[in-house]
Amino acid sequence: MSRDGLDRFRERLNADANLAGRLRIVDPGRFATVAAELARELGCEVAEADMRDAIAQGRREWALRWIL
Amino acid sequence: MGAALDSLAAALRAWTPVHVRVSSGEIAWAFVDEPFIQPFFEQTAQRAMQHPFNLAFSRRTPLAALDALAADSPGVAPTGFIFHMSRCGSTLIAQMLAQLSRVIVLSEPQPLDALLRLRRGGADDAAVVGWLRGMTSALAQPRNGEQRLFIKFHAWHVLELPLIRRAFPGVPWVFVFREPRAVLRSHERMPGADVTAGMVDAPDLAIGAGAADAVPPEEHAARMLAAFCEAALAEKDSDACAFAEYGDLPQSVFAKLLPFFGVAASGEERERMRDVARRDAKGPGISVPRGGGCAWPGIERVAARCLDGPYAALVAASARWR
Repeated sequence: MSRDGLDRFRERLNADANLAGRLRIVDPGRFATVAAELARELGCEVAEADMRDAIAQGRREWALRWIL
Repeated sequence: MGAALDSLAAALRAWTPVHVRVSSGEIAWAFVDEPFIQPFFEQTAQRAMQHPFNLAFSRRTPLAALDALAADSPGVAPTGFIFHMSRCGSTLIAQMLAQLSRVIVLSEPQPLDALLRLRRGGADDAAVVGWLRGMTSALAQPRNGEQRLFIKFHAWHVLELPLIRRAFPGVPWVFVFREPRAVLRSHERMPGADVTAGMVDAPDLAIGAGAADAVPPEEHAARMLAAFCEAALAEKDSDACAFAEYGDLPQSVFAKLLPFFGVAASGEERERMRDVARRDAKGPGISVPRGGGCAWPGIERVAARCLDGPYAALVAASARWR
């Protein structure tokens, strides 16, 4: 997994609402695939597995938001 | 404003705060693509957080980011506030107001709750006032030309009414109330967090976390409800306040509340409001179950001792408003 690649991809999305907007409308079932493709187009090394890990981590954090 | 804050503010315009950690003040931001029309803010936030984009890329900022965003992109200014004693029709009012066009209705938003809990934890009043303004601005970013903003607070937030009025001077507010035995019976069937021991730090009521377990639940609930009512009554002589009784709903929304808030509703909007008033405001799964309870045998005693006085005063205050 490339943490650096994911972090750089996150920075690009944070800086560009239009870029983020492209991902927001992606069907949830295809999100990891499409996001990883977009990351690679932007020169960020992100695998589908990285995206799935990031989604799972986000789901855990959201579920535990009242106690973390 | 520095370049970094300029950049942060510009980048945050499209994001909405969906949660604030009370332990750290850290804000979680998400893209919220639907209007806040669910009975409660948390439902809309939860729906937004189902999308993998928000799960993977939710932003985190400190509270200081609010200042930058508010300066760069002020949200819709508050039109009115709804305070209440719980289980008294305030959700119905919020749902009716949500039928207006170009309106944002925030119903018990957790980010504001967290800020008021930070204040209870000792945060400086001036800082909290600034955060309340900044957070409200961030929550009320117009996405579709919205021009009005109503906030329905949690019941316990009325304890912080002076601070909220300081943050938003002149914003009209209504306090919604109900015959106290009916409110207690509703909490008996499904206790709400606002009146449950340990959920609201209320040392000024002499039932702080340490002592709360020492009294029966109906006693604790009655003291909390009395404190909510008395907090509203303490501000009853301020300008721009009103008192609305459960029994007068939903008619009083049309006859009193809309004019009070300075809102002229169209015929179509009124029809939508009537329609929503015919339904269960909180929706399936959230509504308090019907049927009698017997878990709180002391309801009559605590209602007579703690709540009949404030209730009579609220009825008098609402009569003045009628």
